[in-house]
Amino acid sequence: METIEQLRESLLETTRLKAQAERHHQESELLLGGMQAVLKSDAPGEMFAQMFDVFRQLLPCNYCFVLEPSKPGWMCCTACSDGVFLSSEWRIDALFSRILQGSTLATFRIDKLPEWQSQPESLKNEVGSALYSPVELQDSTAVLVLTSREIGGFSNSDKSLVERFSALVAQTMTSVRAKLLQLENQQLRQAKEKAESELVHAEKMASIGQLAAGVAHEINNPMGFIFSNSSTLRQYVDDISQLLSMMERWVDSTEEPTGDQLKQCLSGFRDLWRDLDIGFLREDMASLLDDNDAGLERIRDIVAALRSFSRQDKGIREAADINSGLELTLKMVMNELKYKAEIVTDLQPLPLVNCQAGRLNQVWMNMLVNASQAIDNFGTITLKTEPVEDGILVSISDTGCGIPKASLARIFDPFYTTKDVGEGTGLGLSISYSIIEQHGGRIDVESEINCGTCFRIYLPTAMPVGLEEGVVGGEADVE
Amino acid sequence: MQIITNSALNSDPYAAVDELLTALPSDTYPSLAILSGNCRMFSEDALELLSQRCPTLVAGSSCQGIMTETGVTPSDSAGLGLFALYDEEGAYGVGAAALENDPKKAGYDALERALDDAERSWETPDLIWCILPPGREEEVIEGMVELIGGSVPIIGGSVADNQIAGDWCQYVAGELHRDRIVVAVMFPSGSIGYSFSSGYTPENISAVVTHAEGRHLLALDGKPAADVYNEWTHGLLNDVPEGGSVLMQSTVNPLGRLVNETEGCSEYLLSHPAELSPQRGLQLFTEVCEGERLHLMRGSLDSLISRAGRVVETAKQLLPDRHAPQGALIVYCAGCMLTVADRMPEVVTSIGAEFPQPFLGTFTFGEQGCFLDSTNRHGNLMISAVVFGAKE
Repeated sequence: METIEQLRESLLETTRLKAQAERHHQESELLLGGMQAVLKSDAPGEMFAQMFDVFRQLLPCNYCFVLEPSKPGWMCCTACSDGVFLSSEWRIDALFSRILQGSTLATFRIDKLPEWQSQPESLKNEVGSALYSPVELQDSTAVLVLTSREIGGFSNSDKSLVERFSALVAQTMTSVRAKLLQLENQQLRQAKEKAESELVHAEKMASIGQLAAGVAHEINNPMGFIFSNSSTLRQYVDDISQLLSMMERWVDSTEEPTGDQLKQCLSGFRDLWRDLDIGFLREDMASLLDDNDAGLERIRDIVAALRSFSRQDKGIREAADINSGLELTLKMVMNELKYKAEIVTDLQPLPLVNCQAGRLNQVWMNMLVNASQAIDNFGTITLKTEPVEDGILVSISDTGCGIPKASLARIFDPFYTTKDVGEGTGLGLSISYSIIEQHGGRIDVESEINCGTCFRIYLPTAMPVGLEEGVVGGEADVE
Repeated sequence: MQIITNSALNSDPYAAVDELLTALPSDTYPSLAILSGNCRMFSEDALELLSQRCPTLVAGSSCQGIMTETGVTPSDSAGLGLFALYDEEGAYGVGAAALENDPKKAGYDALERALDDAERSWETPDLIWCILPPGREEEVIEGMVELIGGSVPIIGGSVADNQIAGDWCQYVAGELHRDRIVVAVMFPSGSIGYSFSSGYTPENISAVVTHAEGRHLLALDGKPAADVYNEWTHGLLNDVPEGGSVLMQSTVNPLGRLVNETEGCSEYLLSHPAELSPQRGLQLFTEVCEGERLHLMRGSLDSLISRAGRVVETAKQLLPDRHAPQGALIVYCAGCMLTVADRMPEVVTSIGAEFPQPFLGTFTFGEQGCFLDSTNRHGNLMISAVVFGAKE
């Protein structure tokens, strides 16, 4: 009898230990699987879903959610298995204080707990009891909450189990935070790129405005005298029409004129010819038409240059002759410059540069206009290019007022400007610097007060590794 | 966490209390103090002295005495044992309610008061320790479960006297009572392991309850229960008159209900036949329900002696890893104790062999505990043990 009893006792004990071992094995499998699932998940929501799924397999809980500190004295639900508690706020009372101090605890019924009173009635009907466990994070403590429909749904062993799984919760929270940080970084990077792009665009718009003003002036001049000449020519045509009308009368007459009539007619022609000064008209008309031809030719050239300038701004990289870009830009801004400075060019033959020519033209235009604006009365702007090792060098110097030493370090900062309000965006040099940098080049500047400034721009002929596929700026072309 | 136990054999209650107090540090109060002992030692004034040093004192009488790690004190007139638990980081509370005629409500109220006393009104405790008057324990447990759910182990025993004369008593909040539901809730800083078992094996005989009224078992398989039982036990009740006690005779052959069976491992909840009724029925110390199958169980002196040690050992093994046992509370059926009688020191030895830490054992008229299926039950001839652990 004793033997049978002892065998039963041993069986009982073995069964108990086996159940315990199986439970631990299952827990370990779930923990491992949960960890892997969390780490493999891409989105924070999915990570939490994986973690909640583990707890639902372990414990008879109907909801799982995470509370994180939101403001002093309060916590906020940042993740919930079914979304029902999401964004709900929980006051840190004595119960939560104990949890935040490191205690895992269960409440056997929530219907009279103060912190549950603010929750919707429908939810309270679905929750009988709750289990809370602190989750230590790097900089704060969160709380994992599991709920059960049953009164007293969680036991002491459930508390121990959740404590054993705190590593999973912490891992999930850390992964979620890392993912959120990554997303935030990505969003910030995208925002920065967008802002930079918008800056480039804004400056480009400003440059185009400036360019348009110059181009308008260039076109307005010939247009002005073409209109004026046209008006004079119209007057000349009216005058000549009088002569022709007189001739028309004689040509259309069916009667043969008498001698007196011929004399009278000739006298009339002579008088009108003299009155109208047909000799002058003839000479002046030729001159006016020559002038108009010249004016129209100028307009055609300006429009062609403008089209050529804009065609280079395709936003793609290709081998380009920097001298051509400089000449074209010079032509575009000549009206801005010619009243302020004598333009001296010394453009040596250059190797082709793999670049976005349109973007570089924006740089040249910005620097040439800056140079002219630095000159108070009349000075000299010198444009020089030369090939150097693995690249080319562009120098743009002026005999203007110069830049104070204190300002030299800041001239490439965004929104830094010494011009009056409304005269400059403060972005020109900053964007120029950025464009040159994105081409793998650099800008050096030398300046002396009251003597002038020289910008030296170095550009490599080949785009450095890492920038080959990059597209500077990225906004649509403005034609 | 620290646990101190002490026992006193002095038959003068005041002297016995003094003796108990010698073991306690004078500069601190225990977080929880549980006293058990011979009902004749329950002097309100003497216990008042004890409660001054142990403000959370709860006490219940035990049949003839108690046992601790130092020995057993079975006597008609003496025997007190004190279990003092010091755990500043834990939380403990005690509560009580009069049984009156609503045991369920009394269970509910007593537990609610204990939780309030612990200042953890809505928090799930790790353990509910109860000291109940014998009679309607199932309903009391039902009331507690209604309040707190079924996941918290309810462990304890029904107070006992020396002669089953109704002299059992409880002491709580400075007063002596006979009908109080006394509850202590525990939120220890360490851990708890518990076990509930009996020293009996099932015989290959069983029958279905066909007529029962509460604790009165009237018929098995349609026949008078006493006749069926007498037949099963080959005339154990032949010499018992109507209304006579059958406690001693039935101690080795109680009735058992299968309450949990996992992979061939069965657990039985025992019912102790107490009295032969005029209807040829059997009065039990637990309720039975019609339709339940009752098995004839068999125990032996040796199994009753050795089982206590194994129950404590099982409870100890359920402590978490790297938690060391600090002490234990043991509930041992008074019927078993009376059967083992002179060999009770061997029970202490069997416990001590597995568990050298301090413990207090009480001899009860009913035991409450939790089987492997985590359901709280009231049974007879059972052994219930709680082991307290702390991180190593």
